[in-house]
Amino acid sequence: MMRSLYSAISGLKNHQTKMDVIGNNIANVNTTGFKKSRVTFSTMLSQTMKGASTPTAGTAGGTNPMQVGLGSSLASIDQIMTDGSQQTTGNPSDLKIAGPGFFTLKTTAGETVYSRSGAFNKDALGQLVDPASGALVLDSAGNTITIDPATYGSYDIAPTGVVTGYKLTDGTPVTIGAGIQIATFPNPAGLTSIGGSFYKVSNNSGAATSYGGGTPYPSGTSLVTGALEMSNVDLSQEFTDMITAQRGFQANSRVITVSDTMLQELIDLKRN
Amino acid sequence: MRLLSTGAAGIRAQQVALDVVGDNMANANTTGFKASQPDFAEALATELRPANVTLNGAPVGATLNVGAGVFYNAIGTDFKQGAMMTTDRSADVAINGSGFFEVTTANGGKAYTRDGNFQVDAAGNLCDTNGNIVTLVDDQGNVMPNGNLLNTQELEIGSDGAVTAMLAAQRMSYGQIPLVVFPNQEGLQKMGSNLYGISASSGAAQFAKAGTTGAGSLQSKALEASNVDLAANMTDLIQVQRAYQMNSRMVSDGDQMWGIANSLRR
Repeated sequence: MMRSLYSAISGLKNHQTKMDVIGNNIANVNTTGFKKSRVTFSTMLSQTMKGASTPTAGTAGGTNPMQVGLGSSLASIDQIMTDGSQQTTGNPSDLKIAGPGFFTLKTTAGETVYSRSGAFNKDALGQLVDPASGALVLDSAGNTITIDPATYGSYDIAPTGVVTGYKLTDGTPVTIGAGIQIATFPNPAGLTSIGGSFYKVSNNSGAATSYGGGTPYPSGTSLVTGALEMSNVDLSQEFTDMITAQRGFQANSRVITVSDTMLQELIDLKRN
Repeated sequence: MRLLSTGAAGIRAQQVALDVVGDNMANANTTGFKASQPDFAEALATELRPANVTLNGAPVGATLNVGAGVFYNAIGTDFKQGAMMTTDRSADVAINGSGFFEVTTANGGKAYTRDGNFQVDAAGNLCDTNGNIVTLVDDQGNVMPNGNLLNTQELEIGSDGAVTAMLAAQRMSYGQIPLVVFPNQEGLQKMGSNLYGISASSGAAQFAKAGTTGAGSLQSKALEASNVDLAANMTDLIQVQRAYQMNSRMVSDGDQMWGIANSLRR
């Protein structure tokens, strides 16, 4: 059968995946702390019909290889870890990380996960939690942060991550826990996204380095209270990519119909 | 009957042309892809009458030849610059000019690519999407060891290929991404995954500093789009389809003529 049919099928499939990723980006255009993904394609193996030949000075020129490519394949789906813009909410338990780094949380299953979404809340016990999943926010010592409502009337969180509670009785400030933990990775784009705005360490992210409390945040990283990080999806980019994906898909489907017509032509060669 | 084999040769050649157009279109959105172009040649002609024969004492001029169709001769690569697509990613880099990046594949071999979708992996290597390690050189042009970028943040790539990153709150230099040029880049062998390999006719790779004449410059936070022109390929598609149709018509006409000859004698 024709190579062009299968080249075109590979093109169709890859453009479909591109569209899937664009769809997911647009669906998360208003998701707090969401990091967009993008798809890149690469060439597939080429079939060599004639190899290259070496030139001989003064006698024969070299010839170039003659190769037919066999279509495209998915090269990567990259997570683009750029900062999202800041959305001021005024809620004192909402946190935004300015600069690189991730919040560290412990899920209800006991797993350590990382997130850029800082829409936190206090639960009935005064623990700082991610209200969507009940995962607990960890301090730099790896413990949960409890602002006991029976002891403290109010609290604030400093840009350095230090949590201060003010006593109900006389308003004395008390430092609670070892400061909100921020983790950095050698390769943050290598983290595995596990849903719920959470990431997990992968083989290619490298191990987490924790900051906070006694270890100050790395330069360029600080906490902003009363604000959230918006999604870094850029709609103009996504819509442009959508056009590229649609037109690429269309062109590949045309290659299939033309290949089909040509095969029909071959079949019609032989009259009964 | 030459018509049948001439038509068949045409069908075969147009099929290869369609394969090339199909591959170009499948790669219409492949980073750094360079479009292919089929090139046909006429097949050896059969001489019906040699030159300079005499007919009734008078010389008859030219040779009388009947061609035997077409065969595919070469599939060239069009290394025309692709458009720059800006991205937000600091590890993305595009070549504006004729150079290539050099990468070391998993089996230790060298390969060349125009796809600058790089990343710093967990071991501190600058690598491409397949984990092939990008060659970095120091100021003297010596190849630097792998894994230098371990634990760094905020990678930046300059237009001269200079790689810098933050380590312990300081911006440090991690060498340069050199560009590679070839005596005959059209001779490079396509290896898939956006990689090219050296062939007998490409000549050896030569390092050049990005930004110098001939090699081109780098643009960071951008990727080079495929240089496939959809309009031109769609036109090619129509042409190929029609040429294929005409060649197949020749075969069926030849078949018919043969049928007529066969039925001359009842």
